[in-house]
Amino acid sequence: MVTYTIPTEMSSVLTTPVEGEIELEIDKNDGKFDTLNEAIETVTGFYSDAQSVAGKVGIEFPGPQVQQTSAVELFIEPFSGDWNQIIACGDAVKKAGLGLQTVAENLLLGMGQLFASSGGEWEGETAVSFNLHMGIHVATLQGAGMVVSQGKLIFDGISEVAQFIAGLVVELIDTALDLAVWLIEKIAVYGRPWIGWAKFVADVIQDGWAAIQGIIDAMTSLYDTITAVFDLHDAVKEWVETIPASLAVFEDLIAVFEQIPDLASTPLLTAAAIRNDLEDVGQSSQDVIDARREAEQKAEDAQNRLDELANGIEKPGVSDDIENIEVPEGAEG
Amino acid sequence: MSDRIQVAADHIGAFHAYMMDISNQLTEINSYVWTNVALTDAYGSGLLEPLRGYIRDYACRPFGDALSEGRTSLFAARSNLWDVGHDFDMVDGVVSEYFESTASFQDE
Repeated sequence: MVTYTIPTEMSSVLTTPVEGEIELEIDKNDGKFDTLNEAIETVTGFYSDAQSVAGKVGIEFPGPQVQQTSAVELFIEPFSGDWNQIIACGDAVKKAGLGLQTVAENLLLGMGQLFASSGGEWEGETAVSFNLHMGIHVATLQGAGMVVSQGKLIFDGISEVAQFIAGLVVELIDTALDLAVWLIEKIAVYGRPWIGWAKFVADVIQDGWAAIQGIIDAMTSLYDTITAVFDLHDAVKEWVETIPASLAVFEDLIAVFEQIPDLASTPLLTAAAIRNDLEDVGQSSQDVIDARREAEQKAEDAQNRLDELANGIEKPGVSDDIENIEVPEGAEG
Repeated sequence: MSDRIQVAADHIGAFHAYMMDISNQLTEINSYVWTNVALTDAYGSGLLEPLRGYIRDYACRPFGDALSEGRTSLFAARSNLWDVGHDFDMVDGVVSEYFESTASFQDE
């Protein structure tokens, strides 16, 4: 019994996706988040007390009101994810594309075997038509493989944007932590019952708000830092919504595969036609001629469409809104 | 002529089976993408989390549908080949060992 063996098995192409090696970790169990939480609590308490004390002497505290929030909920949870695994997704997509190209090669090699191993004798109208029809499959699989491999760019882009966001978050955390440590220390002077607030009133009466300008500036920077993180949340949400448009190419692939003519409804092959080939009768039925022309046109159309799709794939980039997020200055001195 | 038809029938039978392997390779690719791309936890549970659904619905699912279309077309070509094998027997009383085994094409 004649059997054809698949030249390249998928197991040799679809190997375990390779993860990235980005070393940029934010550990939510890190003690720095306790410090940040303490600072946020201290600053909100200080604002409230300062406002109250200032009100009693008929003035208004000029510092910003920092929103009470959890540092982990602010900095960590919204940005959870694993960019090294996203890189692995891109590698998997690339390998899937290579897989399709390998299937196309396997199909082509099988077709070669069919015509060569049968003694090279099956030549003629039917053989040509069958080859052309199967050629549409080969062209479509080959082209689709190229498109899908190119789709890796989309995942690379997502991973790079995720890394950019993570880098920004790390900078914001560092700034917030710097401000937190400084503010906790400075505000402690005024935080002692009676004596602290008496000193606060005395300092402000003697020197005006300039007496605590450093605290006000640091509070303002912390406020700006937290605001920047909230702005980053909004910018990331908007960026995420742009991704479906980048993925439209995968939807377009369906239409290309749908264009492969249905051989069941327009049979190219009959035993009688092959007998004619083998007997070198050379008869061309109109059906075979039409099917051949259609096959040639379809293969060309598929190839052109797939080239367009591959060329149209763009790597998602960092949006202007994300790029424009500014990291405030840290504490002075 | 009978010998040549027998050789042709044998190889058409072999290619008929081979196309099933090709079709199965497309299934393997779809399964690989589903496992490694659609089901990944890479996007976490925060702001990037919607990407998981988008990639599943806008990339992996249509990719699978496209492969399914490809398999349907291959199936049609296989059906045609089977008809040829069957017709050889009807026309010439010659059929390859492959087509003699009804089990081999009951996998449709």
